[in-house]
Amino acid sequence: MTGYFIRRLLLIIPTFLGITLMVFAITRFVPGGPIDRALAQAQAASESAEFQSSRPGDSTSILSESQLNQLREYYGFDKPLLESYVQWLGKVVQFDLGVSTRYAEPVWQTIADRLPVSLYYGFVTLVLTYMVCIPLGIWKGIKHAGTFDHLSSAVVFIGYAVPGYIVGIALLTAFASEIELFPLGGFASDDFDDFTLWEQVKDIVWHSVLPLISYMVGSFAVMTFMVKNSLMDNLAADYVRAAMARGRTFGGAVWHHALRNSLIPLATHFGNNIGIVLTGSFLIETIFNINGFGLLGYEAVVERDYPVVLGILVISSMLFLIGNILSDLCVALVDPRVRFQ
Amino acid sequence: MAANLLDVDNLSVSFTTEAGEARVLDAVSFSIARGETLGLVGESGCGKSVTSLALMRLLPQPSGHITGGDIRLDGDSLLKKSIRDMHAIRGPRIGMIFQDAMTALNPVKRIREQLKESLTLHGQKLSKAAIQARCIELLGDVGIPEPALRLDDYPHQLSGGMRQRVMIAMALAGDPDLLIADEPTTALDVTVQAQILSLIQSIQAAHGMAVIFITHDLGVVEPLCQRVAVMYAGRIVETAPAQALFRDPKHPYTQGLLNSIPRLDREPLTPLPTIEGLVPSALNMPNGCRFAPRCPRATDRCTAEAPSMQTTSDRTLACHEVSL
Repeated sequence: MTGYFIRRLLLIIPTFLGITLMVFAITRFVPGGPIDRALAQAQAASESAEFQSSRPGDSTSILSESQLNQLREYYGFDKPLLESYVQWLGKVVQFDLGVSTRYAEPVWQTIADRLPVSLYYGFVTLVLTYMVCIPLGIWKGIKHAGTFDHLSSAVVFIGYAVPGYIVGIALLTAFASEIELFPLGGFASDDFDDFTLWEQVKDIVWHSVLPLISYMVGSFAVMTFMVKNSLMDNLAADYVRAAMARGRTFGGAVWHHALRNSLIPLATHFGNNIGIVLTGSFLIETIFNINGFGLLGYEAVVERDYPVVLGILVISSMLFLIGNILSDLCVALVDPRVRFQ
Repeated sequence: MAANLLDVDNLSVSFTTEAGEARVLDAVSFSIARGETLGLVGESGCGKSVTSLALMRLLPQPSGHITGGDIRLDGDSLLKKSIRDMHAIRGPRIGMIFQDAMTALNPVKRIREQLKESLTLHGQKLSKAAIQARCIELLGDVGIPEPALRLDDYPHQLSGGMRQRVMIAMALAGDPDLLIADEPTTALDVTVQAQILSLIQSIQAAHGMAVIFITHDLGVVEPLCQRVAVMYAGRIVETAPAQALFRDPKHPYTQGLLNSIPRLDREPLTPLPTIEGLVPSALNMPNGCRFAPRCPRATDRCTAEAPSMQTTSDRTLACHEVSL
């Protein structure tokens, strides 16, 4: 089994190369890159400056060929695709992700600034989702087709059907604007640094109630029903009946036998969640004015800030690849029948 | 104290389905003396397993329910017991083994943890060492080689026969008065079947417990059981001492069953006799004798009126056309 995981770890390398090469190539061919932007800016500047002279602006004549070459060199667009990819990769291996073209600061710095916010929302969402979905799914499974089951299904499905950002806007309108119960947005208050530790904790929680609800409302359905259906399958299994035939109570049979079996499907999803923790949702982040990964990634794509786009890609693809292996490991831990060769 | 260990008296069980109420057991009666082995024989779907689950009061919930009759263990009605009392009966009074030991064992728990339950669930205070010793002893008793090593195995690491032995050890751990064996050999190879059958026989001899042996395999019944009850479509059609039943089957259904056993002394290349037709659906049972649509001797009376049970000292029979 150790051999299997070593092989899986080694397989990360070609997969990672494939993903990054593809995105790297796309950044070369998609219009609107940094050169195009520089041209557009120069054209806009010259147009406004020479507005009176009525001479028609010609984009090729705005910047001289030598200026363009300088720009290409600056952005690394002067070399062939593979060569500059290898150059970029060589830096990545040394943990150098380059400099953001938009913020003119190291990509690491840009990412590190957003990391605490994203980690906080990611992990709290993850933990709360598990804490709600597992007990809820178990309860629904045991009380299948009862009033509680039907009512909670309705709530969960409505949550699943309504997009998180709609929920966010609704919550914001209702509980931050109409009733001023929660702040309108942001991760923490402006005078956060002057607070005592307790006040800081309270402040963050206060700010994060509405965004957290928006984040989680859609994720309840899948996990709750996975737990419920899996538990019901296991409740109908012979071994639960056999345990009761030995004198186990129904509750005892659920707790000692059905439960662990019904959590196996959850284990297969666990690793994937590690990747989701960091990706966030730019729409919810925009609505609540939270400076997290989702917003950063979205803006980097729109602004063609390729070093940041690639930097986020490096981190998220590594997390997904490691998350997949982690899922396998979790399954092997909870299910003794699973042995990877 | 009652003469019989177990009396099942006009037991009826219904299942609520989307298509309506299905009466799966209809006035089933039989009894077992202490130490006796009763074979409960019939086709798939005739209600054998439902009978065994009803005895344990483990019918699938919420669809299955007992609608009438009584089950008495040592004269004590099990249907009047609280659920809490039933927990104390399952295991120490009535043990059960299942058709497929692979699915009847929890796949993610070691044999030790599952076997231990039978020892510790009923209030006994045993030290860790005592539990370990008793587990090894139990596995040894059911003929598992190197029992101490097997305790650390998971069910999937054992063969089918070994798993069924583990199930038997679990039932034995409670030292029950009655063992319900629900087709315990159906999922096994023929040679392993024979081993498990002789194991059940020897255990029964050593512990003196009564056994209800549920099977569709008549070949297994004759050597193992003292008495046989034949079930058809939720009713018992005939009960008799095993030898008498095989020598002189009375009910047309029993005769049909015995005729359809392949025999070596038959003329080669002749078709195997079968019972024409299919078991009726529990949702749409014939009004009269339930076997009438398939019975070669059926008359108008059979389709109109359910036969009452004829009884002698050692046999019962439900048939209009044949008398004991």
